[in-house]
Amino acid sequence: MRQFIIASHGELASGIVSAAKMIIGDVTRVKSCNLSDYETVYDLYENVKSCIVANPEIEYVLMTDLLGGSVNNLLMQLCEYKNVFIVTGMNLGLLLELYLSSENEQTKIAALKAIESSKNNIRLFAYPISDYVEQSEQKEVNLW
Amino acid sequence: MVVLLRIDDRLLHGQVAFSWLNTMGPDAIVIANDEILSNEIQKTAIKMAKPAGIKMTIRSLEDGIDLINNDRVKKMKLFVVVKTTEDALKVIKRIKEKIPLVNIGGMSNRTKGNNNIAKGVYLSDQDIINVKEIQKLVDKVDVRIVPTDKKRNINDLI
Repeated sequence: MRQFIIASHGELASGIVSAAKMIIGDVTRVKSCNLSDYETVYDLYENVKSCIVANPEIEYVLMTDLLGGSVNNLLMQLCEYKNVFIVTGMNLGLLLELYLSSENEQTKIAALKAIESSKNNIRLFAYPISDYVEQSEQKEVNLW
Repeated sequence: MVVLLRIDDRLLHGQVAFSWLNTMGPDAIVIANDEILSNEIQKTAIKMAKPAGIKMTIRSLEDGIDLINNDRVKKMKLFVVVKTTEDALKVIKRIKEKIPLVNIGGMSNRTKGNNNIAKGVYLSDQDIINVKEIQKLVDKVDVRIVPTDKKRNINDLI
C-alpha cells in the first residue's frame, strides 16, 4: 500500500490536493499538511513522523514544496525509516502521475519516472508558438 | 471500436488525460471538432495534454467519422471526444457500430446552457433534446466529470 503526505509552507499542500481532486476525483490516499495549520514546523514533523512510525507496512511518499525549505529539511530526517520516500519540488503533474502509477512498480522506480517526466513538463510558451514547440510534437500521426 | 464517446467543450485537458485515459486504457484518442483545426495554438495545447505512449489524432467531424468507420481501426479501442451534443449525435448516427457509453463531461457555457444539470454541466434546451435522442441510439449515457464521480441516472437530471 502506498500513501502520500503532501507538506508545504502556507497552504500550498491542501491547495495542490484540492486541484488533484478536481482532476482525478479520488485522492483518498493523499493527506495534506499545511505549515499554516501548525504552530511550528516541528509540530508538523511530529505529526508526519507518528503516522509513519505507526504504519511500518505502508510505504509513504512525502512530497515537499521546496528543496532547502524548513519543511523539507526536517522531513528528510524521516529517511531513516525504510518505508519513506521524499520527493521535493512538488507540482501538480508530479503528484498526479505518481498517484496514478501502478503499485506493482517499486515506489523508488515510480518516483524517479514521475520526476523525470515532470521535469520535461516545465516549459515556456510565447509568440510565435512554433518556436517553442518541437517539430516532433506537432507532427500528425496515423493511428495504425 | 469506440469504447467511450465523451462530450466536453474543453476537448482534451487534464481531467481527460489523467483520469479517463487511466481508467479506460484506450489505444488511441480521436478528437473530432471543426473549429480546433483552424486554431493552431489550441491544437498545440491539446497535443501537449496528451500523455506519452498513447496515439492521438485531431480531425474535423467528417474526417473523424470516416476514421471511426475505417476497418483499420476496428480492433483499436478508441476514446472519442467531441465538443457538443450536436456533434455527438452526428457521430452516433453516422458510424456503423453502436457506442457502449456516452459520457457528458464539462459543458461550461452558462449563457447558452440554461439548464444546470450537474456541477460544471450546463445544457441548452436543444442539448436536452439531443441527449434524449442519443439515449435511444447508444447503450448508456452518463454525466461524470471524472470516472470516480457517482454514476447518476441521466433521466433524473434532464
